[in-house]
Amino acid sequence: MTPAPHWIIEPLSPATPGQFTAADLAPLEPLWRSLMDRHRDVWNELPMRSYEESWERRRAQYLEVLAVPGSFILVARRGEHLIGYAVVDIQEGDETYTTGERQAEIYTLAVLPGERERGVGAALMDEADRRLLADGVTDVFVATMHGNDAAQRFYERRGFTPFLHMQYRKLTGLDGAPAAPPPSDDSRQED
Amino acid sequence: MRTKTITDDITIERLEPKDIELLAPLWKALLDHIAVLPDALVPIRPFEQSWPLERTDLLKALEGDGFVLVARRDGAVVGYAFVEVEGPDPVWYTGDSHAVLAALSVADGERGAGVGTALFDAVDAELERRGVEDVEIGVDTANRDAMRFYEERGYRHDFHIFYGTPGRKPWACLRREEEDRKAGRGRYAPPGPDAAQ
Repeated sequence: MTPAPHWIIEPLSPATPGQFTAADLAPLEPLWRSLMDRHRDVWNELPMRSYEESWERRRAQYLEVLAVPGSFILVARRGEHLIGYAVVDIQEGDETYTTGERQAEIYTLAVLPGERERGVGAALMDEADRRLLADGVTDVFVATMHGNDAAQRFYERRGFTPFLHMQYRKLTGLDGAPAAPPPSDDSRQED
Repeated sequence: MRTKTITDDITIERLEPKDIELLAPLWKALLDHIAVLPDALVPIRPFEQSWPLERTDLLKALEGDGFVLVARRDGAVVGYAFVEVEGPDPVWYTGDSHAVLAALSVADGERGAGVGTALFDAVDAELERRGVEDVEIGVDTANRDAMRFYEERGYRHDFHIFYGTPGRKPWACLRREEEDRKAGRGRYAPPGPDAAQ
């Protein structure tokens, strides 16, 4: 049996150096769809947009991210086929937590379903880590979807810990009253 | 928004950008509250560093669609809610805009007295007025009471935010905090002559 050809990790480069366009990102669309499928499987509190509409909006966000100096995008490639990608967003230091002057967010990390559990995601993160450390960025944030236990374990193995939890609510049927009965007291705060 | 009387003594009003400094003591109260949570993981900045950054975020949001509601009891500012209004979520079927409750703070001696609930109700009403139906909030892992408060109001988990340092290295934020502790600076600075006691 011939072993499957190995894959490589490399930065995605725009056709025009230094300026990403929608066309540069087009090869990522199937990978984005596979991440949507994964999210739909684990979290069904809200309906999802169509693949087309979602990709159009997400692509616009990527273009904004990639316009920020330091932000980058890595792809995992097997031959001509992209099998995974990572988008890393460089941001100013956080207003609350003791991060450095700049921090990173793993904006997306996606691997095709048939290519998971083979170290592709870890290799993408290893390369992202290497670039971040070389750039002096030592604080990294990443969000996982509630219920995506495999992703949670993946980041925990890499030394990450969940410290902030996002909660969501649809405001429905409001006529001055909250959707749920108000609690008895309010001795809490959040950020 | 005109001032609205919520109970006999709590009123809620919209903050004008020129009054931004009214929020500073409450931002400090929020930081102090998170800082001492027993299971807090990622250390927080001292107020002197954090407030200028937060103030910048606030003013930027107020220039756009964001808003701040301030609660007063007998005229004194006792709490606020900061809401950012963003565009549609790229994945989930939100409306054309969705809201993020970026901060909710209640003054120390005022907790448990209905201020948070009054602010929350006022935020809901303002969002309804604007036709914004989707709200997201973030709560620290260690802030279990807050998490319960939101769950009771119908909130459900959607994302979990992780922190880490590249290369499986020890957390940079903890190293910085330890350096501050040893040097007696930042949150560990001795109180200055102006410190109120």
